Amino acid sequence: MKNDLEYLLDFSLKLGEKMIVSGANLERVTDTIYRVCDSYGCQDIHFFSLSCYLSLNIKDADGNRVSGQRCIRRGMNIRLDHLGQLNQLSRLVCSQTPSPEQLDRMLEDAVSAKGYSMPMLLFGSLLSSACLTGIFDGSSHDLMIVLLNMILLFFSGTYLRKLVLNKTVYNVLSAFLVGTIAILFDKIGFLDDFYTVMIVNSMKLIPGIPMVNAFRNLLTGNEINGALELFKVILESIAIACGFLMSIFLFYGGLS
Amino acid sequence: MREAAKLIICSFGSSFGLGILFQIRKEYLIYAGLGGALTRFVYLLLLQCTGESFIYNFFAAMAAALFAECMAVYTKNPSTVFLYPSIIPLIPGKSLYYTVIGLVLQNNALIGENIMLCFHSLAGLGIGFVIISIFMHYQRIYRRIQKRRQQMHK
Repeated sequence: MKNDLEYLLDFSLKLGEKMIVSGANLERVTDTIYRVCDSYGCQDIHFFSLSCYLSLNIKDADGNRVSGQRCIRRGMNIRLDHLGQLNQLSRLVCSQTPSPEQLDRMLEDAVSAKGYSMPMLLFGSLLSSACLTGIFDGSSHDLMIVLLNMILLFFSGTYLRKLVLNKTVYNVLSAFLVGTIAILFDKIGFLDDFYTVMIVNSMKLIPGIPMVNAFRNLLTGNEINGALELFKVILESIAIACGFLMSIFLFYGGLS
Repeated sequence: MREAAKLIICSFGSSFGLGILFQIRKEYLIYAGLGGALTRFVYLLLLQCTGESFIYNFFAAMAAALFAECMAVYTKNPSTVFLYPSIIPLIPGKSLYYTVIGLVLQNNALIGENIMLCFHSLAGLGIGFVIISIFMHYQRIYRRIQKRRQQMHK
């Protein structure tokens, strides 16, 4: 039978995990966990967080102490609607301090909202890519191939990632697929600028948010997480480049 | 002028589309788009004054973070909700792409041309956010202390 302090510990760790997976930065997660534990009268709070690991140690007013860890195996799956809901939940918990047994159910309810439908997500993906092609000054022919590739990337992102668990392998395969299609259209003279297509499509694969977060972590004192994230970003970016280069070497025999 | 307008409109559309991808609620999508347009406007404005990528990325990131913080207060959401879609169009995809291609091919000229540009842009973006984040963080602490003082006086 769990006591109140253990319920609070479980809730705090699960809340932290869900926030990180939804796209929250570590400073916000740390701040939220401290505020939640503080609102329940915990006196000695120690929280350590990485983007893949959380550890919390708390002591209540009676001197009872509990600690727990949580490994975050899922990678970041940005759901900003969930992040907003989790933020509201943490405010509610801090202001009303509901009984600890209820916390778990409240957490599940907060992230139960369904997101946009598949066609709407595809529309968002195509709109952002079309506009990025405009920013990189691509022609209408380039735009068509960018959009074709984005449709492929969208479905591969939805289905292929379920089969291939490793993000690096997924990036190599996706970049190879996208590169091959761009080269085929370039060979028949359809494309105006091959590299615009490659760059716009790679913007979908490049881990932009983790890259900015890595720099942010390094600058705000979370050096371990910053270094870890930066290393992951470099690996993933190299995987993308390898995928593109495989297609370029296979069909062109080298860079022109 | 026409080119600048095109870039701002494209940034609006790009951030709006990314807002959908990141599953921002429908009523906030327009703010995501506006964040992208504002960020690009600041970026282009500074590009007229300086050729230093660190400077224009730094101020564009500050504008994005400030906008996100204002929207966060207005809508009672985390600033991240408005920050992410605004900054993605600024990520130096082109220089990163060529840097990594250069690394894989061991082409020092290609790396040399792009790595510093990439680094300056990322550092500018990172420092720009952090300054605003730190400022807002201390402002929240100051407000909390003031609130407690008021409660104690009552």
